[in-house]
Amino acid sequence: MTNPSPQKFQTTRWSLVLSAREKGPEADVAMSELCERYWPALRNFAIRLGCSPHDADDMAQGFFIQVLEKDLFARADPNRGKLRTFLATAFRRHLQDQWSKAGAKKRGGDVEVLSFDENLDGSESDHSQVADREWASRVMELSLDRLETRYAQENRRELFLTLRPYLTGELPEGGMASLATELDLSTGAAKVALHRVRKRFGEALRNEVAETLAADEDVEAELRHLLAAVS
Amino acid sequence: MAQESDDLKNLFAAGLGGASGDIEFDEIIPELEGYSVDRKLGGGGMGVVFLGRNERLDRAVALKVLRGSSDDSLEAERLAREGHVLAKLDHPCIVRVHDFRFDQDQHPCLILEYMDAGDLSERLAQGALPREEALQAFTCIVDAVAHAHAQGVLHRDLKPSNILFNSEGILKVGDFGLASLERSEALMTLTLSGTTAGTEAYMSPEQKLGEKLDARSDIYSLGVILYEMLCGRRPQGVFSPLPQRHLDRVVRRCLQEKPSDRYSNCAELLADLTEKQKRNPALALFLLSGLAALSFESWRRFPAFRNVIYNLTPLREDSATEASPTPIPTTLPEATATPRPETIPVVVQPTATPLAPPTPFPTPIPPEATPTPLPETSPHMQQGFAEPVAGKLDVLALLNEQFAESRKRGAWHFDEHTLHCQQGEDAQAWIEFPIDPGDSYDLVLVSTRLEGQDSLPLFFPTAAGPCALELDAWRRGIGGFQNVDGQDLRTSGRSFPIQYHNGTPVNVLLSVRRDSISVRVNGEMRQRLELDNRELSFPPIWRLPDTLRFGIGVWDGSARFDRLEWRKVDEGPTDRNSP
Repeated sequence: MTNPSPQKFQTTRWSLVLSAREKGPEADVAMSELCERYWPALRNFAIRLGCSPHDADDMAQGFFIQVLEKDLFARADPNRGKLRTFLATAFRRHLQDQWSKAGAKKRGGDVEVLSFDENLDGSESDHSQVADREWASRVMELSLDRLETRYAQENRRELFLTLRPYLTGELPEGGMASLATELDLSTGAAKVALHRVRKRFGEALRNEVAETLAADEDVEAELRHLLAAVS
Repeated sequence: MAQESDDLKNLFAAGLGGASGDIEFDEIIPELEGYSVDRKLGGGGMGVVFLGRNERLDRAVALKVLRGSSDDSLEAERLAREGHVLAKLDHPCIVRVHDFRFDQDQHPCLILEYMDAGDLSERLAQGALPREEALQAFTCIVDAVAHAHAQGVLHRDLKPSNILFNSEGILKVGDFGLASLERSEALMTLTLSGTTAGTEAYMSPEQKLGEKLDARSDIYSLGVILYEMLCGRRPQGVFSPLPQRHLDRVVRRCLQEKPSDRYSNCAELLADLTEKQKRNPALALFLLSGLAALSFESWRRFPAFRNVIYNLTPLREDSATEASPTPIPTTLPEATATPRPETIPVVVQPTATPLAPPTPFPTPIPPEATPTPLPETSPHMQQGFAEPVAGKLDVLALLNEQFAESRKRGAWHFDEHTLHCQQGEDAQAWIEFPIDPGDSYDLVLVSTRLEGQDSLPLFFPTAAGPCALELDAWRRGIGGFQNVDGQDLRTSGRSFPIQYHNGTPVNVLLSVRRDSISVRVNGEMRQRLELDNRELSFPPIWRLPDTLRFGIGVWDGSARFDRLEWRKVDEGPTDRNSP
């Protein structure tokens, strides 16, 4: 088979968590990849909870250092849930710890920072919603990166960038004929190119989401959850 | 921020809902690595067919993209396995499946031999076929189906639109086993929804009921096709009998409602069809010619076909005086005892491109030609099939003597008197003969391709320039002289259909004269080219040295050369006006 199904080689990012909790060079690589992929979501989550961008950077950075130092991933169980939930929960705990320490310092009169209660104003479900939204945003970024990489590998990055604004179903002013002119293709070929990029986008999004789930979890349900989180 | 939020929401909605745009399956131009797509040829319930080109081989192909996609790896593997079974069907009357792949959109895709001259349904739209032609074609169709059955493949969708012609007038059955490729639940719905009323008319009763099928279901469809070929309409309800009682009985047995009342297999159908012709020598003769048109390879490999030849052989003697519109190889009856290689495909007049009337070829060695006496040759020259050439020179023996000094490319060696070439990494292998053959001469070459799929050319000089005679060239099953006026066989319009079968010797008799060249293959005249105002040249793809004039080659394979004999032909003095 020349073109295997994209899902055939799917690996879950849970495997990165499992690798990251081991010791040695492979664990370092896995941790590094986890940081790269999900650090922006955690950082933005911190910002949405009231941190300054600078503090949010520190919080996210500190989280991954703590993961290593305190072996936070030791309790991770890919059979028991979503990577999204696991990382968000662990990060919230990390934030709580940090703000508790900061509050203690404040009470000592050293530094002026917001209190834990001030930062985590609102219910736990509110916080989850904020985290989920940031997570969804990051998953979307990663999906689009994945799609762009696929086109780049086929030496068609420019085609992707031209079609990118129309992934959501819209067409440029002037309709398909205008898009065809922009792409220097026949109308029929432009239609096929647009169909194909949208189809591939759906595949990329599903693959990205699938990698954050336990093996038996429903990708479509998670996608609907993320859609609700951003609505 | 709100705009960004809306974008994110819309993207998720699009990804979740699959906003793929308003496009139908048959509007999607497939993308397949190594192939370019030219245009859509047609579509149906099972899929869409495009004219494509294998870019590496520069070969036209038909790309059949099947409906449904397979993102499920197990389903993909099943489809691939079945696709590869189809690719192994190898019969002169079956459209060749070159490969099976999944395209960029994960649709299963068959890469097929391109048949460019319409199908039998177009021909039947104009009415019934002449009986002889119908029986000739039908015999070949049944033999093709028998071959597939022997490989465990049922056709499941036999109908005139799946019986195709190429521009040479060759008939082949296509779409073997496609229904089985769509057996999965996901695809079956699409198959059934795409089933047309036309298809249903050829379906066996058990197939219409969705029951388990065996070879007898295809035999039912064959009965419908035979009746339609002979009458110009399908047998429906209480249908009128065929005027020929024996053929009527054959059709009716095929069309029995219960499978157990039909022929149990294609061999039985063929045997009965031919058995019934024993009381009709003229018809038997036509049928014989249809079978004879199949290759010797078919005779050797396909038992059903062989049985029919045996059954018919005695008839030919009784029918020798009967006129036949189709030339019958005169050696066929002997072929049952001493097989003679034949690679002549079945030719049925297609509607799209009528064949030119046969050209009366002269005998390759004109009676007035006076051979120049030459030394006798070695005993190994006795093998082969062509007429003996008097006063000949054994070129192979000469080459053997001077082998070390000969110019060559590729891995050549002699084993006793046989020249071998085992292709190395280079695509082109060639070796030069140590003689100048002159302008007027005859050559006999017996060669056997052992591996590979390409031609074993003969490079030779003519009065109009150097020329290559290639058989089974360009992986298109075509042969002839090239290049003529700068055009190779793909574009010159001067090719004839011919295929090597690895391991089977092919006998070539080349006649070169000042004003013409002609070639006989296995005793049959296949092409003659007048040289007047022509400019011949070697195909550049061989990258031969400028000074090479006379030799043989092997492209991407291995071969043996058992016999190569040359004799000079005296055509008298040249025309005074000639340069």
